[in-house]
Amino acid sequence: MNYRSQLVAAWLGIAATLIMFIGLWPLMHFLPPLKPGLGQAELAAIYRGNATGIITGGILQMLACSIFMLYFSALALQLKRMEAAPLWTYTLLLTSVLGFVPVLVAEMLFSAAAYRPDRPDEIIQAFSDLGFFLFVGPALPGAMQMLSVAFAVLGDRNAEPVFPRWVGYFSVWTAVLALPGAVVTLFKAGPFAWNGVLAFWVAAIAFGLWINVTFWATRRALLIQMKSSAA
Amino acid sequence: MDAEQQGAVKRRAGHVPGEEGVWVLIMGDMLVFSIFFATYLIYRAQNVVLYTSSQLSMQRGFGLLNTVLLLTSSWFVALAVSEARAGGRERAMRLLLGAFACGIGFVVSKAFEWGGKIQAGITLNSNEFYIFYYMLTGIHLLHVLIGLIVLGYLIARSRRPDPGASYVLVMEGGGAFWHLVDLLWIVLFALLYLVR
Amino acid sequence: MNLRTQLVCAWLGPIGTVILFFAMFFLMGILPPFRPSLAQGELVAIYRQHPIGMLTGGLLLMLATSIYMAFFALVAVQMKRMEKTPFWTYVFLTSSILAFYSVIVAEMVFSAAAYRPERSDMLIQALSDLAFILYVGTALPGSVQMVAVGFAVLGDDRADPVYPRWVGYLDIWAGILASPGTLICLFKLGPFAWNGALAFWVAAVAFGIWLNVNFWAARRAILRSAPAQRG
Repeated sequence: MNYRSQLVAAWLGIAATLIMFIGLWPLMHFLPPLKPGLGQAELAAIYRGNATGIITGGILQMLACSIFMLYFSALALQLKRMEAAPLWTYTLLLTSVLGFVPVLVAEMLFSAAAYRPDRPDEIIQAFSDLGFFLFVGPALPGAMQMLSVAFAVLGDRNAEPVFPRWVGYFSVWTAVLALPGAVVTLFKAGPFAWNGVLAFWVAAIAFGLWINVTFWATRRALLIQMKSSAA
Repeated sequence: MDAEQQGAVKRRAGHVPGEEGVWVLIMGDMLVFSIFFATYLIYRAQNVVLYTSSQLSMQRGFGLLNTVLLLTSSWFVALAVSEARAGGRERAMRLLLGAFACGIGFVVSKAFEWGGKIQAGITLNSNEFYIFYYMLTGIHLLHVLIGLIVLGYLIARSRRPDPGASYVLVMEGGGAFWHLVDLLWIVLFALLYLVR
Repeated sequence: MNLRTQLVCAWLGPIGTVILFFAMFFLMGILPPFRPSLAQGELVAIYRQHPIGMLTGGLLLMLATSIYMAFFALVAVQMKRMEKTPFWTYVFLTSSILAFYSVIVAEMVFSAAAYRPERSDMLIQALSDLAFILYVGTALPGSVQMVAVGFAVLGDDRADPVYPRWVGYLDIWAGILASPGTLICLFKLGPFAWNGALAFWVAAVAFGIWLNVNFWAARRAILRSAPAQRG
């Protein structure tokens, strides 16, 4: 059994989160995200002035998305042990892609905005808007992803549950906390805008916590599997 | 050995999530709303003048009506749950119908309240206070709608000649959720309509 | 496997479709889709005057897509029972994402068009075009998705097939009828434009029929398998 590979894949989830952070903050300077109400000229100046940072940060986002897929596959394999038929396993796989494709497209849009400094300001702004919509907005696929884990864990009928039950409840709560991101298209300021405390910060922290908790649970489960297969 | 390999022998007997899960749900919902309320208060503290002047448009009549409707419905639900415990499922069902009607009344009242404001030109992004007003009452309204679905299920269950072994548990759980919806409204009412 | 959970996930198919219809018709006004030949002035007026409908409708499109994922997972679970190795199951899962990620990106582009009324007419039209192209044009992955189920059904050689055979034939026909959307970029009017009889209406109806029939078949399969799957 390739438990060792799965363990590496689990660690890649932590790595991917770090890579996302490095791309977002020191490189793109999008932490905090640019204010929706920022003036067009100021915004365009940011893209022109930090083009290389934004584009390189974007590449790191693409890298993070790609290796996140390994993490979610390892997580899916644990879910598969909880169910007789892989319903939530498949839902996790589907929603993991559905949730991260927008991040991929977003970084391409940020890069497109930075690509030609001589573009008119309003096109740069349109690309930037779309980028932030796609980066922060897809809270519903993300919540569905967390709920898949929740339902699988809470429906686990094994004598020795694969994950502790609280991980299931925890996943429900991170899913709920992540939801405000969905409404960012309706706002240009306030807590529900794409840079807002509820739609961005609370949701991002919820996601980060969820990755860490599911990583811990996956690693623990794998170590138990490795020990019992060696016994 | 995998879950599948362990087979039927070692599987725990299935249990209705019922009480335990519902309380985790309720605690968590209160936590999330606490975060919302705290955010509101922090934003308000930084712009008190805007908030107090906007709050002048809050119609206390609507707020009071909503509060009375939800308190009444909660009372009906509490009575229904105790009827269920005592085996009076038909009376429980009628009480639940009363609660359901109050819930519908709340939704209709909300439609009029929002409708009136929108007609007057007060919309989602009119100012920061109104962002909170529409979003918080909107998220609460979503909970009321979910609560109505829960009540509907409880009503259907109560109508069955044999509502099943977990009937009381389900009534208690559903009732607890409805009380949460009521409690959240009371806090919202105080924050948005009363505190000036 | 908890049959009640499977039934709920089956119902998410029709529920998602109702949400989709409601959003498109009542909120966004894109049923029927805007004519490609609509004058720029008229088109941008729609986005400037009814932004909230576009924005909230877009949100509902994201919701519908997210809950569709649980429905598709449920379909995949049934497909897995039909095959000895989950080949068409995997084809179905991967093409489900490929077919539906575009709904999320499209709704964000619709939202971007509605987000800032001060954008220039030309820019709003460009965003609107892009949104319709993503939304209606992602046809072939959808065809593969629908046809995959068909092949799994027709390849089911169990004594008691999971689905009736006619469902397999219907799936394949639905997939073929859903494919004309591929050509929309070549046309601004006629049956193959993004609002055309073939590229839009026939395809939409085919998808609707496919979804409802597969919902019926999945539900039937779940209920029939009840005694065997207890415990």
